[in-house]
Amino acid sequence: MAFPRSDLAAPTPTTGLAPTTVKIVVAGGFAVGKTTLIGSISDIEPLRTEAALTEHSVGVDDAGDRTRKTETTVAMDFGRIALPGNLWLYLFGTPGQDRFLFMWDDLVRGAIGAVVLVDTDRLEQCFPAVDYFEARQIPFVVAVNCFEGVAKHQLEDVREALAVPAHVPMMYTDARSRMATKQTLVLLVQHAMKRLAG
Amino acid sequence: MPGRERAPQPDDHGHVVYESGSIRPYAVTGGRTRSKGELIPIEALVSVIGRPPVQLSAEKLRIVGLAMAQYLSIAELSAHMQMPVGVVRVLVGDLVEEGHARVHGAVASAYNPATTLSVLESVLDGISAL
Repeated sequence: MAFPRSDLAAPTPTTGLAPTTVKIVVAGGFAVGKTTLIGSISDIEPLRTEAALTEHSVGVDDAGDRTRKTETTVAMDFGRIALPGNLWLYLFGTPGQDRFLFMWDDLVRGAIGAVVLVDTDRLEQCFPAVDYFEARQIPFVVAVNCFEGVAKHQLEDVREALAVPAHVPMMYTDARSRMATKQTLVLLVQHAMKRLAG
Repeated sequence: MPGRERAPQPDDHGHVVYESGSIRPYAVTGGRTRSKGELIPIEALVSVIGRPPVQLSAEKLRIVGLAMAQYLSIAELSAHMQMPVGVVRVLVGDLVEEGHARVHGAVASAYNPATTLSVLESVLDGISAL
């Protein structure tokens, strides 16, 4: 669910100074709640786009069959938040399956960092994301999504199971809650600032 | 809980980008999958310069139409046009080359955050105030 803010979400005429854009990547397993988290705070309804792979045929197509689709769908959802100071923060959800990890390179280039959203019932689904950000030294936080508001595991047990070092921040979150999402993003940005400051 | 084995992937993980199944959308780009210049970041904003000539392709005219009234990112153009990010990038790259569009903030470097501490401070203040 989006929370439209008419003052900020309104189209910005391109006559003014272009906003500075920044982005945060939201990663995690399939159906862990990435799009819900993005929608909980985005000014716009989350949009869906395709990355490098595609299923649509478009425009001038010699085959003449404009509606044909292949089975490969690599969709990613994203949202946008306008912040004071002419800043636009984009939140990009990663395509769910690990076999599309190669596409993440494009997403993470220049990102502030990443939120790894975790469902403790399917913990192994977030391993590729943790591996990925760790290997590339991209700042990330681990956010344990509490479905129905219930935390099933202690954070330290999750940390041990994920084998993430102590300096990686961890927290409980609720992807449906604007407030919880806000706190998660704050934690990530603070972590990224610490990393940048050395 | 089943644990993760700590086995980071190698850094030089390849940029294999396009499968054969994705060739057809690139018909609108003349088969090109990359524009000449730097890869435009997915969050880079596009704006239109002046009033472009009508003889542009239908796809380019759509970009011009969408980006005429407001700043839109490559990702948003891709979503609104229901075209892959890669195709939109090439088309926007062409429009820039032809002098019809401008791309803002397209200066992301490798995997290092392109953001400075002062930008991060503004982001932190902004999110905190939501």
